[in-house]
Amino acid sequence: MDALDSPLFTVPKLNSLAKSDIAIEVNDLALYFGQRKVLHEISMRIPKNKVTAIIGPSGCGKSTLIGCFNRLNDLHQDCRIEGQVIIGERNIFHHKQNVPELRTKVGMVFQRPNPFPVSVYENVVYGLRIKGISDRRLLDNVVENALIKAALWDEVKDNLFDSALLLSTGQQQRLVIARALALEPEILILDEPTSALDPISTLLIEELINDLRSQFTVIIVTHNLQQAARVSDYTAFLHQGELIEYSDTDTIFTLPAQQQTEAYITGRYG
Amino acid sequence: MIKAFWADQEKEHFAIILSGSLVCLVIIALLSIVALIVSRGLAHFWVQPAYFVNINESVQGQTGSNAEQFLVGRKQYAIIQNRDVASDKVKRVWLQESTYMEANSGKPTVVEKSQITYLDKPERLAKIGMTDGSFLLAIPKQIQTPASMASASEFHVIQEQIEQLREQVVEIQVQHLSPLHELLAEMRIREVEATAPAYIKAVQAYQHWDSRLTELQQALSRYSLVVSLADGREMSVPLADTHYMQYPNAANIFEKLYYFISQIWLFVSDSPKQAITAGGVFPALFGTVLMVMLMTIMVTPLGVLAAIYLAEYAPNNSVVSIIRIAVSNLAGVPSIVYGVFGLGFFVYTVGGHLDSLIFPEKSDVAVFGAPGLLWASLTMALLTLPVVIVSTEEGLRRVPRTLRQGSYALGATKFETIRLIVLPMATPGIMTGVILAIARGAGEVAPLLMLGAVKFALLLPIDAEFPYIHLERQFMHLGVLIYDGAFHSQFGGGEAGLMFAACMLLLVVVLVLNTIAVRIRNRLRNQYQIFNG
Repeated sequence: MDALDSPLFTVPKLNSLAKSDIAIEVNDLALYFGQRKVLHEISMRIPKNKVTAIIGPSGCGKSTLIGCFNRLNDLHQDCRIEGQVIIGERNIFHHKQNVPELRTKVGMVFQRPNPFPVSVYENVVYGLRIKGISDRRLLDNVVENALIKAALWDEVKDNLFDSALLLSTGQQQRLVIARALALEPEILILDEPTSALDPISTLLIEELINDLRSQFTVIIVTHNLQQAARVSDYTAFLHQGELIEYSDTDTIFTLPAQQQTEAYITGRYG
Repeated sequence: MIKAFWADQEKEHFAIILSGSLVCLVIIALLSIVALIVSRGLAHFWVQPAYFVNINESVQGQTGSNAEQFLVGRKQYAIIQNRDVASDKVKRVWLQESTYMEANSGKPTVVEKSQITYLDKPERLAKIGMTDGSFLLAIPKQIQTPASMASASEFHVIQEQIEQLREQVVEIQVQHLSPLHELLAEMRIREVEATAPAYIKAVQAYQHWDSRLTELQQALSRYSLVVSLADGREMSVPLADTHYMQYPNAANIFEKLYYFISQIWLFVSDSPKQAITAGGVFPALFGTVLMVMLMTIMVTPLGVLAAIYLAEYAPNNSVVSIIRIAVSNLAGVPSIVYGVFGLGFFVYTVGGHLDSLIFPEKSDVAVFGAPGLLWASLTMALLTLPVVIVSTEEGLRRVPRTLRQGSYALGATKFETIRLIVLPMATPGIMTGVILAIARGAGEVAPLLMLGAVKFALLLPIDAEFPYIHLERQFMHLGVLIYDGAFHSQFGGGEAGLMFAACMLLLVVVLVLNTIAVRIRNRLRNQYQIFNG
């Protein structure tokens, strides 16, 4: 009975998704660093309010791909992008796109926790302060909600004004997630969020992702295939900048269509 | 094989010993500098024994119609500046006689040791310090007060009475006479009738306080100290002119320590007297600290902004590389060149134009067009700018990329990221630059010589007169004082001791300013510790 209720058995097939269920639409996305082509014409549709995992060997372009979704790749001077990424019916590479605003809608959490060297409270409200919000009561509310969502509230509620650097690595990573959630993004990108964490903290983050799926579209990049199988609804397999296979997680891990995918998930390759 | 191994080990030993002994050499050099400065500097304040000397001098005289050489005995109280006067090697002796009421104030006389026929340290010989910084060596006899004669041992008690009278004098001058004086001057300008009641009242009040002042001054003049000099003459010294009295030969260690500490305090808190051979160096200390602070206030924003552009915004091309090299090379430009630049550009060009803009009706006035504190600290800011730029850039580069990405990912623009994340985290680097700038700025003298640092400035750059901070004024500087002392003092003269004391004070100033900056940096470092590991 439990098994039938789990998301693995209830997600619709990708090709049967309605337009309104799509959070990100990627059309023929190609990316170059200088002369080197890093992403080869990728097209995929990432469903709304679901967890999508992106797997693949190191250097396959996973991080570069998700860096396109909040245009963090702009920071590289010699980066050139072709194709489209449509979020909210707009191509985010359009020259009129307000990039800071896009980044508040598409939150991102990095491989290593990177809290700012200020208090826990100031870390969480950082994005709001940037937006110019300074109403104390509003900020207090946001901090509490974000920390509760990130399952960190009980641990830090008494030391909100202590330096965030005093937290453990696992707590710091949840703080960074709370920091992203405080902006109420539509999409939350997690770039190998547990690779620097111990098993207990990893478990906490995975439970957290499970809770977040009802409100946010979550994209998680991971090297840990078990993790991808555990937390995600859909999985994309990238190899050398090409999207090899993209399907619901159940299919990928049980009946992969491509030889390469099977080789990778069974550990014979990569 | 074994031979080669031993040879290698020997080479290594040799390298260790060589480099280690060089470190020793550096430490010895440093310690000897500090030891010399501190010992000579502190000796300036220590009680020196006072001697009674009998000197045979040959004097040109006339007997009848013939000019002849006479040998005349001269008795003198003096402080002998050769410490090892008892040694046989000493041929000449520098005698520092009383400087009170003397024409050759401050200059020691030189006599051949063979001329000294008698040398003694009288217990009752006193050194009497005057309020004008000079001193008198004499044996105090008694004190004349309006009421009676008192013994010299009551000096301190009577000195307190005098101090009260002095305070009254100052009070009348400051609180009553000078406001009335201003009032009268104003009335005269407004051409108030001499018969107007207000005018008459003011004049009467003025006369009242003036006569009160005269009374007090007369009362003061009735106190005097009667002393006997070396040749037996008696002399009467107004007690109002005396500052302290102590017996150098009879003093025990605690009295000597008390005198020592009070002399040090006098040195840092008093203004120079007797053409900077006595008194303190407070204006120079004040000028040095103020100049360094102004310099720091000017150089920090300039250097930080330049470094932000170079590290964050400037494109990575050859022009920027050339700019970077130029900045580093600026640090190597001799400071005298900066001085000439400051004089030519800031004082004559910028200052001159400012003057003609602000005071167009007066062509001969030079307020900003003359060397002063503002241009001196601005030039020093330029001189220390490269240091601040280089270390700030270093600090900015050390801020981890992940933190910048974290900030961008939360919707911050580049400017917001720099302002809120990068710059606060680079503050330890900025502080390092400021520390180096202070260390260089406090010790630099050459450019200041051209830019308004003078041997003696009448007024401090900050006072109670509007607008309180007078940046256009000339100022005194410890380094300039030392430079001047080194060139103009006779060896063994009073100025040499003062010069070493000023050196010591300059070292202390640099040390204190640096310690403050280092402490701030360490606190900032602790705050961001995790990222510096």
